[in-house]
Amino acid sequence: MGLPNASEDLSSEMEVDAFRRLFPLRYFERHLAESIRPDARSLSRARNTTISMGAVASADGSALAKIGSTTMLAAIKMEVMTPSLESPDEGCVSIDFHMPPICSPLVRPGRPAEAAPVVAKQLSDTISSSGMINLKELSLVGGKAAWMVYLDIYCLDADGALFDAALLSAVAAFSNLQIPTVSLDDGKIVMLPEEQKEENSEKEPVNKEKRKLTLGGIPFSLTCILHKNYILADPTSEEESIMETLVTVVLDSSNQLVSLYKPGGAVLAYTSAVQDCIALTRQRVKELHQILEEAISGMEID
Amino acid sequence: MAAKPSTTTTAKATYSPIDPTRKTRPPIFSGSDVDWLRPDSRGFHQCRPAFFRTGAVNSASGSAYAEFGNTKVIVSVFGPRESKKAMMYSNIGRLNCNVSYTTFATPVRGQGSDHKDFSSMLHKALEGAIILETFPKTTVDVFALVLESGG
Repeated sequence: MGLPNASEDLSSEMEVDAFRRLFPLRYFERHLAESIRPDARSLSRARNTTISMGAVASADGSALAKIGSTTMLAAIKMEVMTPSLESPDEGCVSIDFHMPPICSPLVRPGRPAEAAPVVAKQLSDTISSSGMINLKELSLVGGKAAWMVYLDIYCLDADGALFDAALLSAVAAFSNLQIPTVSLDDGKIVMLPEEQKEENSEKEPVNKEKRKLTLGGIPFSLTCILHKNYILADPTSEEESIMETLVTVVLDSSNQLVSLYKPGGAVLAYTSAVQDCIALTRQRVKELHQILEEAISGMEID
Repeated sequence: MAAKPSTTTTAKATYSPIDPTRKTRPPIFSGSDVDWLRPDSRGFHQCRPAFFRTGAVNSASGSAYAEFGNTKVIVSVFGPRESKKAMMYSNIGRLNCNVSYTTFATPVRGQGSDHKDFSSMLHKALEGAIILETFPKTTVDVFALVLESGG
């Protein structure tokens, strides 16, 4: 990975790595002028994405999503709650996003990452507004008991595009979710152990048939960086730290817009830039949908 | 158990349908047979198979993923890097350890906070292995995240 030494700049007198650290913006712009990025991707290509389901055996549903080096582990645990009076036949979903200190040198135990609550809020807004989860399916005994879904997403390695990887792992975990069979035992819901299924005990299982959630429109997202008149899809953390204008577009599987998020930044976007981002996202949704389908069918064969 | 506040209503108390007291454990000492095996069919002196892989986390200076049967841990090492400004000058290096659990590490969902006892045990264990004089004024941070706790 060497720069052409044709210029009379300082760059010809120092090593590539030193130049990359000292003048990061110029380093990147030299690459962008050739429509390529330091990791040899084109401007509109995302990094290799993989999903593996069932990563956490003790959880009711889990998934590990990797976009390049960014790794997210999502796990779902179901607990029972009494539903509120306004919506007695609806359950609840609680999404929590954690960035433990292992994921990045910028996070310390006493000082949580700035990005963590932002991504957490974005995730819960996106998942609730996309209509992927029908809360009525989470009801157990109308008015008395309903499922509370605790979704915990841990970032194991932070290398840019945190929201994309987190959303992908959340969606994969929901696809992998198996609701445990439970029964009502004098007013309290208890889990039916596997052996009792054949015996016809007096405990009637409350939900014998339904073990998987039906998912509505599944949201997929792509984060892009705007820099001068370039649009870079799927940034790494180095790119994010130098060029700070991010645009995140979330589309669902029928290409409808779920959310568009552009939190300020030095570059103001024209309509054409936003439309280009949406077009890039549309392409990415197809790829992600395919990857998710393969991961799901891979699980079902086992 | 402390509840998580949801977006629409105030904090709810939830309980897990798993009842840990209901599970009857087989008594460990069954009869006077000396050759009995442990519940997972291991002998007294057998250890569980271990699995290690380095380079698990790209953002860290060094990292590893370790599995001992059902116990899974990811560890990252950052450093040596500058000590925080509030710390006093020291002409030997410092070691900082932190062990935390995920919320899904235990069968019943916990709070996932960090465990100071494991952190200090890890610190004592590593102290002897690191030559602190070779990196004065800097700190080496070792962070561990327990993904699943099986003993």
